[in-house]
Amino acid sequence: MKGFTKRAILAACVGAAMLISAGCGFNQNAQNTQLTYNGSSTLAPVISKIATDFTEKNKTWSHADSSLPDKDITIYVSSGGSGTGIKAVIDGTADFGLVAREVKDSEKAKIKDYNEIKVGIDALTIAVNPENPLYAIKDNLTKEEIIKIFSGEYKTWNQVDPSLPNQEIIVVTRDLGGGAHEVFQQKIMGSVEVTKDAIQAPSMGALVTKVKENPYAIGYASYGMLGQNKGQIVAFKVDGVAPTDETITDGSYMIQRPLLIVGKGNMGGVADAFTKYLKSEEGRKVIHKMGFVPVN
Amino acid sequence: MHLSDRFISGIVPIMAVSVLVLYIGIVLYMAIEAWPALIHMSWMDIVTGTVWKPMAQSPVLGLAYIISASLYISLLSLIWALPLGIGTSVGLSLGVSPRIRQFCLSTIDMIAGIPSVIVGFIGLAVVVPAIQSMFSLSTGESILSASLVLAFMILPYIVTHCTESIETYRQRYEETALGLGISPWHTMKAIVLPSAKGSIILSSVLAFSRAMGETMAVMMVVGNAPILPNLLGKAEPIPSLIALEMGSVEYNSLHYSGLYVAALVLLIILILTNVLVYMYSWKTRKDGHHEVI
Repeated sequence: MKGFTKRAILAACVGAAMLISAGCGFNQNAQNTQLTYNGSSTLAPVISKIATDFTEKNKTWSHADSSLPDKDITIYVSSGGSGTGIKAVIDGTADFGLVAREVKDSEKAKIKDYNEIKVGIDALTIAVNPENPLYAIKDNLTKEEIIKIFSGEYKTWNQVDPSLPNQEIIVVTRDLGGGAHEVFQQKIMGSVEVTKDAIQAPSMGALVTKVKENPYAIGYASYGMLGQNKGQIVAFKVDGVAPTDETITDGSYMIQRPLLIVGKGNMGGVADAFTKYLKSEEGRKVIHKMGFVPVN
Repeated sequence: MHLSDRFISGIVPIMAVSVLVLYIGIVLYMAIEAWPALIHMSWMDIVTGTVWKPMAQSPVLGLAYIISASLYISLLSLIWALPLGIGTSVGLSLGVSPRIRQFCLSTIDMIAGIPSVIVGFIGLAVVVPAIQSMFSLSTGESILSASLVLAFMILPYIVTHCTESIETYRQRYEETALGLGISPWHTMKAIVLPSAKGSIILSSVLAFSRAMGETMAVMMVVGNAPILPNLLGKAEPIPSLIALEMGSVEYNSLHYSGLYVAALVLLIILILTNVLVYMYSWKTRKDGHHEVI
């Protein structure tokens, strides 16, 4: 028994030593030639794709910019939601956070020398199945109508218009705490809450699948998803404005959110080189191809 | 002692203790992260509250509907899976040759290895539309769909566990029973199944724990609406709540802390069920009944 106690104490000490040394490992990389991005699952695939292109094109940092060290380019991108991205920057587990919404002031306050770069805009479209009965009679919804549909004030389609069938309106949303929903809440619902009956889809793909298979469903699909599922889902105009590149860029289409890269102060050479590439023609092309509207 | 023996006897306790420390650490971490929410609202208010509004000015963290959804789905899936599982075990034990039994058992084990996201996807593509048209619902995402998908996922646990113990008891009593002229099926009903009762209960608890914690497959077919759970209606169990909201939660907010409370509740339910079962199994053993595991 005594021997066991002694070994147990030894074990605890060794365990602690291992943890401490592992903790130090993170700070060994003084010569920073790697970049880490973490955050929004909307933005992460875009950054990941652009990072792959950038790495394949240049191989080393010095090739991208001759003033940089002659080291291999390493860019890590992981996704876990906008909130996780900001947490990662605050904790220092990532150099940059990917955020697909406006950053709250309370969050900005926690980041030293807050710095954000806007790389694009994502828009949400009020999407239904092409066989949706409402879409058959009109292609425009006013903000008030959208609020009534999503808040559950209209329960069945014939309450929206008496000529429609007496079928329940199936409201599909993303998770109510997520970035996409936050945009919808802010730009459309205001202080009105979405019906508790709404299906919370775990991903944009799941949301679109639901709309595709059920003519009585309505949800906010991302603008990119609308492009990828042409013919299978259709979008209403909102207050007379259809979602297009132009209306999203000039801000006249209201349900939109910025795609931001958030960091602590100026990261210097390596980060600047990649940011420059993100903003270049090639970077913008990828952003557009993946369903978002790039900004200057 | 040989050097290698001394090395092993030194390293094994280190590993054992680190695992223990790790587990205790995780629970402590959860408790610390949950603390702000528990100060904001009492345990009682959280467990009995029906409103989950973590983003409000003053967040309301009522988990009653969410906890009951979790229990409802898991128990219902157990109701589907248990008769099927025990039936399969009895059938495998009595009805087929050992070679076929072995083949079936390894196939069933393989089913347990199907990633839950795939099971969920099949559930979304097959079960949800089927339930939708069968009950002419406006949408098929429901407790019923989720419990059926879950039943499929926990079935292998029940079958593997039960077959093992049913086989043990069958072999033990086979010759005596045959010698007395009792048919194998009657022996099964009168002696083997009652003896294996403890082990069947244990396997149900394992399956229940598995069902309570399953996230992805359930999340895809349950609709995730935090409303009063109803057999043919949508619901949001604890793991779905955490998985959906964890990604976008504001760090260190009450919402974040509230999700840790939900996780703690899940953990407590699981620990309680396991403790109860071990107490039961310990009691029956002490009372001189058959060994149960």
